Order: sequence, then structure tokens, then C-alpha cells
Amino acid sequence: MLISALRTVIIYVVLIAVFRITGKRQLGELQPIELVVTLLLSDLAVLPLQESGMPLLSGLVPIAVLVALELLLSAWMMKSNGFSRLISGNPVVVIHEGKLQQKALRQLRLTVEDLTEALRQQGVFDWQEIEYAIAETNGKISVFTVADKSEEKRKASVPLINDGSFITWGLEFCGITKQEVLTFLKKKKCPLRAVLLLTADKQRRYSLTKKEEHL
Amino acid sequence: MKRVGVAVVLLLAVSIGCFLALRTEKRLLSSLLTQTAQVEQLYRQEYKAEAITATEQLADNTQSTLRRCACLLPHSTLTEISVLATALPVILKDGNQDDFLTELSKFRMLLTVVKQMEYPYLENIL
Repeated sequence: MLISALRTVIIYVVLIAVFRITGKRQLGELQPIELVVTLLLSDLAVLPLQESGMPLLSGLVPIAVLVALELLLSAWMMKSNGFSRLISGNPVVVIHEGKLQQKALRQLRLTVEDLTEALRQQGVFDWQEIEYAIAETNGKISVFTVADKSEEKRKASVPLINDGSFITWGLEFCGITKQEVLTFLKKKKCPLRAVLLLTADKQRRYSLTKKEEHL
Repeated sequence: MKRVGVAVVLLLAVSIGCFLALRTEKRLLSSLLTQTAQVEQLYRQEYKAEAITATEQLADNTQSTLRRCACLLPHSTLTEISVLATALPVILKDGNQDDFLTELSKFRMLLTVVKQMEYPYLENIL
């Protein structure tokens, strides 16, 4: 009994430390990689608590390895957009200019019922209000509505460049080519590698944020 | 970068820990296996008094070794080995002599299994 109690205290402290190290992302909306780690962590933590015949280290060592892998992979995902896309995928536009993208829905294996439910959870009950809906990589649906229908409000801007790399779906969304973007950057005298974030809307209104070291 | 540092430190600590655990297990269990072979040799050469002393020493050494391995290996296996080690001198003194060799080979087999359990062989990993 005492051993179980002591082990519980140790695992409790270790898990709190783990979530502090892995950061707040683990507590919010989970990306696939974080979901896997969280599922494994919860099971690994319980094993040595349930089986007193198992050394505590058998639970703690895999937790340490998982935390280390999660930290390394998330750092790699921050460095490389390609790797980030490989692990987390791309956001998918499911409603474009008010039109349901059936191919995208099939690709996501999302029924209209699922989509309707997700939209209701976002507080959108009228399909006529929806200009764009995007299925994010964490599974949430983001909605851009045009409640007041004013021309000014009808401009959804999306990222075209993230940390020096082109975002293909953003380019396709706005109908802008890479060449056009590069011409814009040339005008701004900003090399591609110096771009932290470049967003644009369909009217080609750009918003550029340079990396701190290039300011 | 601070978190990458934490990750590298964790992986290094785990790697060093695994290496040290494997080395410690190998050293302690090899020593027990050597003692087991000596006990068997003494018994086969019919040096009964020496064999009893060696078996008692083996039982004591097994207990202290298993205590040191308790944080690395499953407790159920360690208990099984410990029970066998404690029974060996008793069997040699009072029991059927044939049983002694059977129990001794069981003891050796368990030690060998435990010794190889943590090696990164494909069959262990899978």
C-alpha cells in the first residue's frame, strides 16, 4: 500500500514536470504527434502504479524517451515546414466562397452532417453566412462568415509564406502564383528567407512580417 | 533551444542509464552464474561439505544481487530466483540429492534468461 502511494506521488510529480516541459500546446488543441504522446503517457504512467511488481523505472524511462522525442520533433517541425506538413498535414478548405468542396470532404472522410455539427459548435447556424470554412490540422473547423456582407469584411487573408517556405494551399486559395509573390517581395526588397509571415487575400492585398534579424 | 537541450539531456541520461544498467546486470548475474558452475563442480566431485558452504554463499550472494537489481528487473522473476536460491542449501543438506541438480539447473536457467532479457536482440525487442 505504502509503495503504491509513494509511486503515485512520484508519477504525479513526473507528469506535472512532463507537461511543464512539453509546454502549453499539450494542454490545448492536440496535433497528431501530441495526441500520440499524450495517449502513450497516460498509459505508461498507470502501468507501474497498477503493478507493484514492475520496477518504477520501467514506467519512467519510456516517459523520458517520449518527452525527449516530442521535444525534438516539435523543434524539427518549427525548423522545417516540410516536416511539419508531413506530420501534421495541411489545413483543407471545405467551403470556398460559400460553396461546399465535396472533393475536400471526401478526402477528409467528413460527412456533411459532421461538418454541420462542427459549424454549429462554432456558433454558425446559417450556411448562407459562411464564406470560407477550413479544416485545421488539429481537427477543428475555422469559419469565416460574412454576416454584414460589407465588401470590406469579405476579405479572408491566408498565409502564403511561413518562415521562408511557401504554403501551397494558401497560394491555391488566393489564386496567386509563386512568381507573383516573389515579384512582390522583390519590390519590398525582402528576400524569401527573411519572411516570417506573408498573408494575402483574393484581392492580392499583402501583409508582410519580416523575421526579427532582418528588420 | 532550451527545450531541445532538455530533450538531448534526457536522451543522454536514458542512454547512459540503459548502458550502466545493462553492464551492472551482466556483471552481477555473470558472477552468480560462475558461482553456480563452481557449486555444481564441487557437488559432482562429491565434496559435499564444500558444496554446502558454496551453496549457502551462493544463496546469500543471490539475495544481495537481487536487491540491487530490483529497480531494473520485474520483481516476480527476482522472487522466483530468490526462492530457488534459498531452497538450494536445504535440498543439498536434507533432501534428495537428484533434486539438487534439477533445482540448480532451474536456477541457472532463470539467471541466464534474466541476464539475456535486457539485451537489444531482435527477439527481445519484438
